[in-house]
Amino acid sequence: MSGVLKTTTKLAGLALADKPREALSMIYRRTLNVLQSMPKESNYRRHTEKLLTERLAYLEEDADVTRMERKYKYQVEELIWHAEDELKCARAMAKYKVWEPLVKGAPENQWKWPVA
Amino acid sequence: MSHLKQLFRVLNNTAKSSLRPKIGFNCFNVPARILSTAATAKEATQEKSVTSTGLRDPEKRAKLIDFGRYCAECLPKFIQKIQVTHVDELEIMIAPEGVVPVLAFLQGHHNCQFTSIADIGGMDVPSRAYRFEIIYNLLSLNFNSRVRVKTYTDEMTPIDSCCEVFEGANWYEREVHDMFGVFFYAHPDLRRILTEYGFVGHPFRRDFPLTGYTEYRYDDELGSIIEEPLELAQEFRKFDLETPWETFPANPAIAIPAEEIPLVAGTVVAEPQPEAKK
Repeated sequence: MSGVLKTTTKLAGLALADKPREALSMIYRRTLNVLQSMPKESNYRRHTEKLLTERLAYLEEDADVTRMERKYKYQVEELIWHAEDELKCARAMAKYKVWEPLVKGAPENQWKWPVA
Repeated sequence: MSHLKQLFRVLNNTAKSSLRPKIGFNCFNVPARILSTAATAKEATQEKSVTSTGLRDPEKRAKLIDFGRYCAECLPKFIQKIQVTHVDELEIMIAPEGVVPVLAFLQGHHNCQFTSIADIGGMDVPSRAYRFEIIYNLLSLNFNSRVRVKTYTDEMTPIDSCCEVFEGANWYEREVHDMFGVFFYAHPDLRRILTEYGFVGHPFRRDFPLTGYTEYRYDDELGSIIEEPLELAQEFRKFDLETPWETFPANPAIAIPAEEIPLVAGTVVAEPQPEAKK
């Protein structure tokens, strides 16, 4: 923390994280767990797994989260926030089985514009 | 007095001399360097004004196409079509079953982060199999970018409410419900929002008459406002609204069709580079 203690995120409604490193790595791991339940061919799983394992590896290289903040250009609290969003998203993706083939094509001329 | 006259004469002479063409001196003979910098500055500002309106910025367009393909690759189950309009807006057409997962993906995924719902709109095209289009406009503050998600339904088919993804969608969905009569399944509070209590019909449908179905007037005897079925005071009459003056030949506005981005099933697209922040 370069000798100065951070007192605020300067963002309304976003409190300082207590043990941010642990929180972040825990959410990343949880999301990776959710991704494990999807089939390997799922492109969402492939992309997200790559993204999260990269971030997780970078996070665990060093105990100092400011390095992470510098690389991704967000405060660690925001990174936690994004990670939580990704976790929610991953759960929805698993629930709706998004990797399956197209559920239903559009009727003819449904997307045709202009109509005439 | 004589001094003043003399002064006038001098001023007159100078005025005349300035009007006279000066032979051998071109007042526009500015060093080329200055001119060229001025010209480039002008061009730069012009370019900027074009891009700031989002018109045909090839770089932005390429990014949007990449991003659209990435979405289609991640969500093959729901995305039917991707297109980019002539003003560089990305449109994702989805099957109505996919409203919640597609919006959840766009909101939560690290490469999207469309955390703000700007608006939900509707469109009525009675000639189509599913006459209503429901249009979701999203904004990503992190990537400074927008996306439009479109789906379709008809009068009878309910569409999933996206309130569980975006809390702000609550009133927008009520508005679409009020104006078009679209039913949102699992909406926490689906009531009319803009029209008055007891209103009949849905004003934005194409078959809703311009005059409405009822009219209101203040009744002196009853001392209150009463609502009655509409009764036009005038017989129907065909108005000739054409101007007697000569007009320009008919020049209808041309709708520029959006560019469709082909989706090939099973292809692998490179991950889009996140756009520069701030």
